[in-house]
Amino acid sequence: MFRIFHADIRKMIHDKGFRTCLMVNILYQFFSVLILKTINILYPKIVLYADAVAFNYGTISTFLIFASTLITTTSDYSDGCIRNKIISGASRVNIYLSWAACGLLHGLIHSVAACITSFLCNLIFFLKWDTYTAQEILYYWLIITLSCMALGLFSTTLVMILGGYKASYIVGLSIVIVMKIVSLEVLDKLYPENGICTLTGFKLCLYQFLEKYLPFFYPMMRPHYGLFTYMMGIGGITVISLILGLVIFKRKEIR
Amino acid sequence: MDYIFKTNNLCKNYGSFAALKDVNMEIPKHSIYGFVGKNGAGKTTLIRLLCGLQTPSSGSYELMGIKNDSADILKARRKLGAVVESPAIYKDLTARDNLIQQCIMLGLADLKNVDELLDIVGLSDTGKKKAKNFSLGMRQRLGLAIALCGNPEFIILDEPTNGLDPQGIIEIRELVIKLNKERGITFLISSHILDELARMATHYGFIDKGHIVRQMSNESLRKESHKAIKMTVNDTKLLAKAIESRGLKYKIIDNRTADIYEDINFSEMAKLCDKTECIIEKMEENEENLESFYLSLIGGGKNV
Repeated sequence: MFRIFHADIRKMIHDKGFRTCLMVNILYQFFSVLILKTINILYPKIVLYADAVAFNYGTISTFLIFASTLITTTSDYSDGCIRNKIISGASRVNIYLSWAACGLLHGLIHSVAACITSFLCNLIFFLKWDTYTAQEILYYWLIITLSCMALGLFSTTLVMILGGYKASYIVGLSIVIVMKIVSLEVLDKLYPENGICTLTGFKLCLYQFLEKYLPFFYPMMRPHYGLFTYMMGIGGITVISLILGLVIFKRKEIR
Repeated sequence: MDYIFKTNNLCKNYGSFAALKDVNMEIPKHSIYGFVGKNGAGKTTLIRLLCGLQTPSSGSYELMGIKNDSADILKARRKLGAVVESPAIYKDLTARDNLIQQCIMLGLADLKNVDELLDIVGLSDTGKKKAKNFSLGMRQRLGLAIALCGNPEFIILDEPTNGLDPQGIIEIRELVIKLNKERGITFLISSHILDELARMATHYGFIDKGHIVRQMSNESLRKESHKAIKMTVNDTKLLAKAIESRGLKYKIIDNRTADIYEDINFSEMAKLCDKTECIIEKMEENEENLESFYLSLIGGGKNV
């Protein structure tokens, strides 16, 4: 499996889609801080803190991870490279596990790149921390990195299941958009800007469940649950993706 | 005879449609096996089964003596190279990087053969040009180079000359023949260009509607091929009268041309025509080729 993984990592690093997404990630961090800093200079009343910069990545992380993994894995399918691996005697389990590991790596690389960029931005623009401690910020980065890794694996599995058709893009990006809308609705209802939460009964339970156990929600808020709760959600989506991916890809007829 | 690939009543169904029905096929070792059939006859389905991309509905096959349901089939496939439908290449990588990628995947520590392979397929001067900027012919050659990684014993080429210019077709043909003779690599080549296939194949398999209709060696094909004398005359009615007087087999093509399926010398033929005042304009000996043999076997039709 390691030789396939080695080859897949090499391919991923050379992939134009992956590189573009990484560049978008870094430039988004930098330019959004630049814009905020400009506003801060023009309107000194609006103060820019390092906290806002650190949490910037969360707004685009899911979209970035999905785009990055979808482009890389779909091209591997459509260019016939997965077919070539099977012809060359690689087992389907190894092929899938190697790509699953690459999906995790996508999440890790993007999150680490975003983390480094945000800290560099803080240094460049002399930003100060407002309400968050270093420990809280590190905890945030840990949760967001783990959730991005799980989402990378989920997205890769989606392509492996759908067989590299263009539908993978539609399904993948639709999931991101739907989840974004749902998370905005859920978080708005659970933590309204004005007043208190008015949800009760089943709806409250459902919204709390989604917020607690769906990694799509994690980058949207500062972490306020314990590590165990987040690990349940991240572990859950990871295990479900792996089982589904292995079962379906093992039986799948390749184009 | 040793076979590199052998099927035993192999069947593949897509729902109620049977793409392959009880296929029994043998590919001798060190041969160049020309696989011939119409579109939808089952060629690609069989190749896909062989490559492990799909699983048989029933029946079995042996690849290098290993059965398809054995765990060792993956080991056998490591000695297999294939270009199925379109070449499998990483478009963001150069030709060299593509070969390195394949070597890494096969676990080949020595990358020395990469340059040799690029040289063999004529891509050594592509430098930093990415595969996405390659012409179709260059991609085909890169696909073949990838298939050659790891010194395979058996290479499958599905329509290898698709999109190639005449020079490219000649180069691929010469390369296949060279690899077969020098390295003893067995080839399974599916092609619609029968004339091209006839120039390199040592064995043939004809498939129609999911059945192997016939398998034969090149020698058998030659023995079974009929010789014909193609004649162009002023009037084929006069020619027919002359031929019938000797009881020869013939076929009128149009009112000026006809084929005669007998071993008769040209002066005898001229004498016969003279008797019926038939004027010979042109006369040439033709050997039945793979295409006409295929048409007589399958019954003709489009999309060969």
